[in-house]
Amino acid sequence: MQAAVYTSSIFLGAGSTPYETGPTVSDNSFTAEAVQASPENFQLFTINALGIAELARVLADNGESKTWISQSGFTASFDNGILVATRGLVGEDIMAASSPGLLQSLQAGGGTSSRIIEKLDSLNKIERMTFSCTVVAAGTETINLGVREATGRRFNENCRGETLIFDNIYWLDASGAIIASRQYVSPTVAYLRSNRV
Amino acid sequence: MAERSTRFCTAVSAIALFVASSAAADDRGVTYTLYGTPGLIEMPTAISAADAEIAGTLSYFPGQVRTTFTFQISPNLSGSFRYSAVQDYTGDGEGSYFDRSFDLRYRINDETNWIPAFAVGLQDFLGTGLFSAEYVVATKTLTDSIRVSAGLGWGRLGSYNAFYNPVFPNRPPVFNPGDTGGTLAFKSYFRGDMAFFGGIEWAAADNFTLKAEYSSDDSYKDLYGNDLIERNSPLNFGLVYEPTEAFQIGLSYLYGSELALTGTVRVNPLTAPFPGGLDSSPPPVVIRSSDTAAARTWEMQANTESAIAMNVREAFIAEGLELNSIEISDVEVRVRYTNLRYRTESQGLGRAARVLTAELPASIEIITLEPMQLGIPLSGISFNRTDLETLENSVGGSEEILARAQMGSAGAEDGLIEVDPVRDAFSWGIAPYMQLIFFNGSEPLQATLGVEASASYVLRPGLFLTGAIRQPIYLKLDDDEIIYDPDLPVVRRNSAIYSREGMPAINYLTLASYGRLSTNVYTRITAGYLEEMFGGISAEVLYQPFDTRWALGAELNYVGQRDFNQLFGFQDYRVAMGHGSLYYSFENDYVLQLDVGRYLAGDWGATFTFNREFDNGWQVGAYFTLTDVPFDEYGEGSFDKGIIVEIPIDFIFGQPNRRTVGTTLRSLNRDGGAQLYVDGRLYDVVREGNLVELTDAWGRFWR
Repeated sequence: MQAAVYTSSIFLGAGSTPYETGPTVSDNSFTAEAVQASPENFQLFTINALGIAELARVLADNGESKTWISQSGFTASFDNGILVATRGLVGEDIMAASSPGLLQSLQAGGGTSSRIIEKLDSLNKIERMTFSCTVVAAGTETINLGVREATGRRFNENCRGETLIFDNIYWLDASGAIIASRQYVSPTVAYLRSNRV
Repeated sequence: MAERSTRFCTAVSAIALFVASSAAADDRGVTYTLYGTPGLIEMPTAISAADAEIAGTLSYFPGQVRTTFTFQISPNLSGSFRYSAVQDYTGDGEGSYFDRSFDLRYRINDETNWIPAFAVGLQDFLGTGLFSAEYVVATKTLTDSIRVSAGLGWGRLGSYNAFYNPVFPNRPPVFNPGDTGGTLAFKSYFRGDMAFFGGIEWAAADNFTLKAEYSSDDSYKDLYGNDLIERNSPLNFGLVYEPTEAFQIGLSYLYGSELALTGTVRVNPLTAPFPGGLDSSPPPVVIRSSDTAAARTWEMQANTESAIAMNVREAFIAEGLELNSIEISDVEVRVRYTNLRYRTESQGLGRAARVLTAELPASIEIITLEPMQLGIPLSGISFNRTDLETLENSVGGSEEILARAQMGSAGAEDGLIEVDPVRDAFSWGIAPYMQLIFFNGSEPLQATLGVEASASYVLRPGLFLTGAIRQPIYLKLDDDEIIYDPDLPVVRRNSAIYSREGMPAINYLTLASYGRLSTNVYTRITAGYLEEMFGGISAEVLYQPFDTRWALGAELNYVGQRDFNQLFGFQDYRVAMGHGSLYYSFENDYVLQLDVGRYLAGDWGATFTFNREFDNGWQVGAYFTLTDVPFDEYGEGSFDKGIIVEIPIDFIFGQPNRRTVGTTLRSLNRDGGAQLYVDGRLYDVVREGNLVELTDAWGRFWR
């Protein structure tokens, strides 16, 4: 006589289309022609920790705020070049972020700012972390943008929170726009480097 | 993260500044005993595991095997379920004696710089009493890496060097031969002779702990009092190695005579391998251009409405959503859809809302979403499109969109235009299946492997024809005889015969209809071959308002016992049964379910189920059923009880998925208090869309 029964159906099998997983859409918009025709619609994304170095294109252009989708399918949103969200990274995403004082500090040649980052925890709650940052000018550098080189003014931003310290880098062109940056995402992703092409 | 430190730091060190502050000093460096509980080698300590930790321990020494499942129910309370095999216990040379036991431990206080932690515990308080003991124990952390414990034990823990108990000198036996066991024995707890025990733990390295203890257990005897092991010394010595956070391997030397091995696997539902999940990126919100002139001149036309519906339908597919129906006016849209991909409806809402910002004419400002499951609309959530446009990537945007949304029950069907379903009406699948049978007589574990072919046909939304056929490939046949019992109908005890005779078996074949009678009243009718052993008709009604923590349900079934071969025939036994149910979801994630009614054998009684349900989908709980079947008639165990575990697949793999793996482990599968297994009971379906569930997982809205 038995005492307990356990039936498992965790196996994968054959069958009709499972709509849970959805179709895989191949994105054909990353051709060399498309990039050459309108380079302003593309960026180069690099994440060393995940072995990612690929192009991204504008997915939503809401003026100062743009969302870019990479060739492998993750998205990153920037407000005036400052990272405010990521989605679909193989690691922890930024659900939302803000950087009060950062733009002003970059324009003023240095200063202080703060960064607030929200991410999802194991229980589907939004976890908010706050960092105090200092921004210092670090001279002018030649930046490798992948297909060309450019000259930009470099700014280092050092941010300290309760349990974490990170260092972001921004390169600004003559007009004061961010043409390249390396910005912190999360412990498992570390930094997202992005630059214009 | 926090748990990865075997040393018992009490002082705040530099490293502690960089770990999460939630880990109290005393939940670090927890190692498990041969009984599968946090502690020394055989003796308990006052240490708790991290809140919600689940640990499975297998321990072996010559003559005994114990498998234990321990759950840290709350930061202070833990519970264990154990299955043990004791060789030669009955002394009749008939091999091993199998025993089930349950423990509870409550830690009374947190350790401070000066005061040790105290805990009180009951060991084997519901079984046949083989391991029965009670204890009070104190534990103090002395340095970074040394911890000492001392306690006072009764029962088995008061059997070596014991002294007289002046308050309750007599301990009536917890269990008398011939008893059915499995009941509380208040007359015995903390009574009779008592004895001191104690020990020391030393975290010699980050992943090595050495332990030594003085054991007050001198009860390794068989039924006739003969020694089961040679007890040369009360001292035990052990070593635990922790190669990773999830595993512990232990070696110990017991009573100066035996070597023992333990292995423990630990998992904590509060710590996901992929927090936030590995879901694909959602489409971003598309903000309307500031030129609203175009929007104002937009006019509703029949053909634009159907064109919009088709575009939404296509865009939804990519997000794992199926559009069911839509209502569009100049400034508002109402959409019913089924979330096929995400475990939480909050994430489905977020995806649907974002898709709609890209597909709808600019004049539409109010977006109302009505998520459905099994054809039932679960709720109605309205957003201002402007809020979606402004809050998507903003800090605090998750709380803010929740605060601004209008949330309530789904609206009426009037005005909605049906959209052709995305999925084919007919679907099928073939997959292997596995059935594990624990503790079947003298076999601790038996497995059945086979192939299951299943198919489903959607006749209309909410009406499903589903079935599955199983063909066992590997089946351990035993010679169980069919059980007849004149006193109590045999409704479950013949399950081994079903396993043996079903070659192939119709596992289930049902027609199920789901509906919503009025705003808060949901219905289900299922007819056919409902489960392996019973078929018939099952009708259920659930009253669940959108914003309450409680729900009421009633289920009525008329079923007959199926033939052992599980084809189309029935045996003679028929029964009308069912129950009324009260569900209550407490604010701290505990869910209580009370079922009162009639069970399969025609007995009347009640089932109490208490679950801890985590916001990421994990469930760990326990239940017991008391009916008017007398304990001696019920047989071994006296009444039905067990534990429930559900693990969401998306927690394990990170990829979005609505399925869970889980089981109900019954202490014994007998005939008193036996439930009918019907698939798709309403409460678990309907509440996914209610206020409590939506807000608990609202962090996924923008995911």
